[in-house]
Amino acid sequence: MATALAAESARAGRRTLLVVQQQSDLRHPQLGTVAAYRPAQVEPNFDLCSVDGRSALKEYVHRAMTLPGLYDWFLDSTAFKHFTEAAPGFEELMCLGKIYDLVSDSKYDRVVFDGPATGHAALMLRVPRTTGAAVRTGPLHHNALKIQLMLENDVTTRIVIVTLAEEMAIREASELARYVTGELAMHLGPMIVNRVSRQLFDRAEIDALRATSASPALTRMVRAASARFERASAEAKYIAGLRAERPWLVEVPQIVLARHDPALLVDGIVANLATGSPRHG
Amino acid sequence: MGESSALDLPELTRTRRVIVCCGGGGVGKTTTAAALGYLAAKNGRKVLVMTIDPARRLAQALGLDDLGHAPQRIETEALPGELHAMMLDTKRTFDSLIEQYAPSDAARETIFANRYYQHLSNSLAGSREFMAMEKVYEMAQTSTYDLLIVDTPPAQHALDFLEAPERLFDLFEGSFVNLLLQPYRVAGRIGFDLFRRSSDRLLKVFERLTGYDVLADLSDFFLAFAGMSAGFKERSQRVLSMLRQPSTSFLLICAPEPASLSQVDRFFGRLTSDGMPIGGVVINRVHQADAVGDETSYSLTDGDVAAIKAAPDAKLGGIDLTHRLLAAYRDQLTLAALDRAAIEATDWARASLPVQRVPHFDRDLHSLVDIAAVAACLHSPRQSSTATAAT
Repeated sequence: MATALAAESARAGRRTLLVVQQQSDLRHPQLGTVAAYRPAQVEPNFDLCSVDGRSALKEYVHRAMTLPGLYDWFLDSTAFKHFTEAAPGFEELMCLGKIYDLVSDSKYDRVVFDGPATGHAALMLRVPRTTGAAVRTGPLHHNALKIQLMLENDVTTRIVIVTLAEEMAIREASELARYVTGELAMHLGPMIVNRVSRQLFDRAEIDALRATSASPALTRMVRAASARFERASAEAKYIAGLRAERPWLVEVPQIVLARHDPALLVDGIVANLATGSPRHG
Repeated sequence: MGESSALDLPELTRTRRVIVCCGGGGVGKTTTAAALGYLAAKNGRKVLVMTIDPARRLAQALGLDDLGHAPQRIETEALPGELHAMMLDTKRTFDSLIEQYAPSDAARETIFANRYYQHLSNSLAGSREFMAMEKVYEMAQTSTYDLLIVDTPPAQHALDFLEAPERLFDLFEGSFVNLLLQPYRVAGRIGFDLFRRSSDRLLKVFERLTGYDVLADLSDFFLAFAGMSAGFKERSQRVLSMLRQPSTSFLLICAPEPASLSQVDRFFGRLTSDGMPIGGVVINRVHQADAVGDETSYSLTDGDVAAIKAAPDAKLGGIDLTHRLLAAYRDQLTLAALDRAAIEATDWARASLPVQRVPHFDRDLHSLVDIAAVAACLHSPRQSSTATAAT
């Protein structure tokens, strides 16, 4: 979904950067290219980069210190790697710090960060605040505060929560939304419900079809239709509940392609985002 | 062509002491863990399902309002055995470990009073994974339960789970921490050597980047832990040893999507190289097709056409009922074919790992009745995979 949001932004003429967190040797699942720390163009107006805590710290040291190369051996050392992997909040804070720099850079009109899953997202967004509380003075405190202010700024930052139309997923998304707007004092963008089953039937049709005595072929079709009807009905109920709480909601239908084609899937989602629900409020 | 064998989950839940459910987020890990617990209790075992998921998914899956740190029995008449569940409180487990391993009362109080510990022990990278395994080990040492099922934390990288203990020890024993502690250890000594001068410079760099207070607090934090690292390490080695026993099985849980399947590929490789016993793969939400999607599956008789015409036609989206029926069926066949192709392309399918496929339900699962339905799928060899793949 983050890729589709970035693609939509870029195709609307905004200089857009998609930021991901992934192993450096893996290809981006939708774009098919390896995301590097330094942004690289994947489409007109559309750059991609991957952030990680240690690279971000190294860049910071290079900026902050005179003769920064002197410290590379230390920053690249196994000992420091172990520390950064285990130090509480280090990875999250450094990544958010890098995103702060990218947002401050006038090179991009929009930075889309492909954040972690629901549970970890809450933890990550809380890190600047936690760090600010644990460290009361000094550069770390100051930087954590800057990042927190960026995240809380209604003009610069919107948190877009993406969920599936399943009861548990929607409940978690709803809880995250309350946490983000309440405890974290941040601002939400649209809530996006992905892979929504389009309702193809109504109850009377399904009841009538179920009552027919049919050939094996039609029986299979009626079974598929019935499952589709039940799934879409349940999803519609969950979405209605969520919409009552979060009116700014965009539904993206499940896109069924004949073969696995990530690029085509992104195009399909972009087309649906463009025609999705209008902005609320 | 290789062929995956059926995963015998009833046998696994009858014979194992520990089952660890691993996988990425949102693949039905918690539901699978709960269903396995149900299956084991149905077979007469006394089972504890443990989760550390703060989103309370296990409680919801079992139809409970809440779940706490103490095991809670799930009351149901249908089970000859006993089904218990608990949600691990990482902080409390961490606290009790410190209670156990602190060399003195003063050391214990120093750790509990440390600001880093108070703010961050719950989010220390890997601490949740480590504490989950610590609790499993603790419970496995007692004979209270026949079987422990662990719903592992949703990890950004599934491998975090195995690497967490090692990372924690590398942190506590690593040379960077020693560097932080050096000013304390050498306090009062005369004649610092070259290393000391070199480390001083680095500490100054670190101090300039973070601030003096951070350095002092971190030093306090690690100094307080210094006396306990040997105990922690020994405990960790015992946990890893327990996980390698044949009485333990790792189950890889995934969804039939390329990203989830490739994550399991990586996890499979890592578990194999670490000598961990892999029970098999459970693939949730697999789209099923009643028939192979060839032309004959679309062939309707004259009677079928008449029956469709006799049904009310709401012309949803301006499309008549026949076309919508065909569209729904075509979608189902396509999704089933995509799932099958994605599964067959995995390394573990090629390695003939036992597989159990759980069908995509047309409703959400959030009660004990639903868990029983999933358990029935886990019990049924009909759902088991005959995934084939080119070798």
